[in-house]
Amino acid sequence: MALSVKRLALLSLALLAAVAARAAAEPLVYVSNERGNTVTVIDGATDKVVATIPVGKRPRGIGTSPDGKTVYVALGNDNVIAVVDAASRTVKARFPSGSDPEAFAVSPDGARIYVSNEDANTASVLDAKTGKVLATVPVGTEPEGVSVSPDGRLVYVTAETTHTISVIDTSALKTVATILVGSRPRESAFAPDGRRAFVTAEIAGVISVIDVAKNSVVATLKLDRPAPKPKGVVVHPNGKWAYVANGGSNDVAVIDVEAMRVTSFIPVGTRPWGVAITGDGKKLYVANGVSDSVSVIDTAAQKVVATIPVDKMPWGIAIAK
Amino acid sequence: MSATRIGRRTFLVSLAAAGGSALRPRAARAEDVFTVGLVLPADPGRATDLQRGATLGLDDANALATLFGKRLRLETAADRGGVAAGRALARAGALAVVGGVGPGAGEGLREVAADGTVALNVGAPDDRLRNEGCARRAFHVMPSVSMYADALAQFLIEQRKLMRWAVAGDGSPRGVETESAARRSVARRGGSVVEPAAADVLLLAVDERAVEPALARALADGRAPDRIAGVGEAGLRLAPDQAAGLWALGWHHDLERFSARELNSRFRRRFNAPLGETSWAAWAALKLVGEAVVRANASDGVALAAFMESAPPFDGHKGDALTFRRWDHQLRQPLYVAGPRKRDDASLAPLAVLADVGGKNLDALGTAMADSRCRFAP
Repeated sequence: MALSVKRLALLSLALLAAVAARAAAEPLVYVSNERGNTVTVIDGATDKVVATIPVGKRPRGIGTSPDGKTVYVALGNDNVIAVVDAASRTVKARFPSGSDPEAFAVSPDGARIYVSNEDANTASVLDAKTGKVLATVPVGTEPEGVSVSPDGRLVYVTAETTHTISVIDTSALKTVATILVGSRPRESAFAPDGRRAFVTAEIAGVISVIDVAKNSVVATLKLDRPAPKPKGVVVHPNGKWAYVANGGSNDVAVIDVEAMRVTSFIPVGTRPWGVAITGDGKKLYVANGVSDSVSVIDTAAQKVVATIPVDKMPWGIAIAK
Repeated sequence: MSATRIGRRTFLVSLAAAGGSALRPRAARAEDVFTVGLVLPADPGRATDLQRGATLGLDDANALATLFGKRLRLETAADRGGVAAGRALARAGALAVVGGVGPGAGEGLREVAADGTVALNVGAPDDRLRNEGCARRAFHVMPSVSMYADALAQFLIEQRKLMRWAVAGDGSPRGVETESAARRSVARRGGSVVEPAAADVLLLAVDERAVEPALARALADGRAPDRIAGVGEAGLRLAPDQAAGLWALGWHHDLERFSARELNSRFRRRFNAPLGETSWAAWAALKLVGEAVVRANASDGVALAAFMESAPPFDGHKGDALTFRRWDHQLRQPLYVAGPRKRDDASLAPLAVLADVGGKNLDALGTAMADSRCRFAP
């Protein structure tokens, strides 16, 4: 009997180790569901839903810590950033964020969270461990999308009413440049080398390509669709491709970064908003807000290989890499 | 709205208070300051609506413009009938004149445009101003009567299948235009205009000052509150106990989608008042001028008009890119139909947005190019 217990214990340890190894190898995909008030967890290996976490009211912006142990979710109607423990899949803290938080970004070192405060025309800098507000930086009117440069030195905050990007120096914690882009900029994404950034302009229906060093727009890519309403944007880890979720035309635009042109459109579900790419760049996940689903795109084949039902009105996606 | 705040923030000069004598060529300013003129109607409530919208629009325009070393300022003039106030603002150096609110104001603004100043109409829905009365420098932010009629027809005929309409007209110019536009809209959608007793819907084709008695008569005749229709926000200005009917509108303070909630919220925080159609149009006009000044470096009427004609995708918080039609300079835009709320909640306004209309094809609202009688002078 004693031997059996010992064997059982060893087997359990081996199983745990295997699970841990798999968890390290395969990404988990987190989806905020605006009307479901939940976060859906998808196993990136199987593309199956493995959990649904109640988080609070109106979850939209979502991001993970660099080590994947923590998931942050902006709760618009609770006015907080919920801090979810990835292991226990429970909300372990709620950081006050100001009114109606929608979007934020986590710094590459995981130390800070940059949050746009839509009503206040500011961006707040939070300590990611404590939630303490370290600084508040004035930005354009009706700020929304937030992204951090790969080296962590710059933060871009889109402002939907002024059609601008506020460039925040993360050392000085102040806006050091303002870039005029297309009408109603929603989100931005940096290329892995940090030289270029891509900004979606929802009303203009264009992508503004920014030379990061010069703080200037070097190209404006028109999306050849009637009312494409681009929102989410992500750049492939190899830096060669960018992907844009077009909420109006229900597809994902594929952009050749070097040529700076749109090469194709991949049909997905209805009203795609959030988009995220795996660390190896092989798969792209797209939140289809009206379809209540997530499309999984094989980036090499440029086609949808799976459609995963999730909770009501999926909005944002983050992948623990 | 705090008078102190207006004075500090926008350098408003009220010619109403100054009897017009304050309007004279201003001293030379830096080239990056641009004046926009605002013609205020005699009706204090309408004037407040207009001024508030313009003030928020000025704030938003300057939030952008000042980032690029430019600034807009607002000068106001009280409408004394005709074209005098608009012309005075233009003579004082206004880059554009905003107005058209109140009886006859649209015609006055048209004359300002005919003189060569860019005029932004934020109050006059008259179809005539978009057709035989059009002017090259006139741009219409306010929806037209035809757009309203098409919005009502889309909602009532295409969505609710209420095919038989009757018209209660008062013979006023606005009433005649409304009836004419409604007949076209109804016929185009397979409906018909019939005697009131046989009608599914009664359209009030009356001057905006006659809305209240016309609505009261229709209700007294036993017509259901959601079977009476009208155009513009006149119906929303009625007292809550008189509110009824279905109204085609350019904006409503309850709108939430497409960041309408944020705009409504900013207006309410600024003025402790709901954002209505006239205020929205004034806000949009100021913001359009601000974007022209920044995006196109527009510093004179030629450049400003060229920017407007280039169909820049304007974000009016309506979810679509709003652009001016090249054939009549009418701003394409989705409209809304407001009507009696289903819920009985005294804390809410009695009329709620029931539908937004036109988003799939903005040119389905209003006069098509083939039907336009506008011929711009070269």
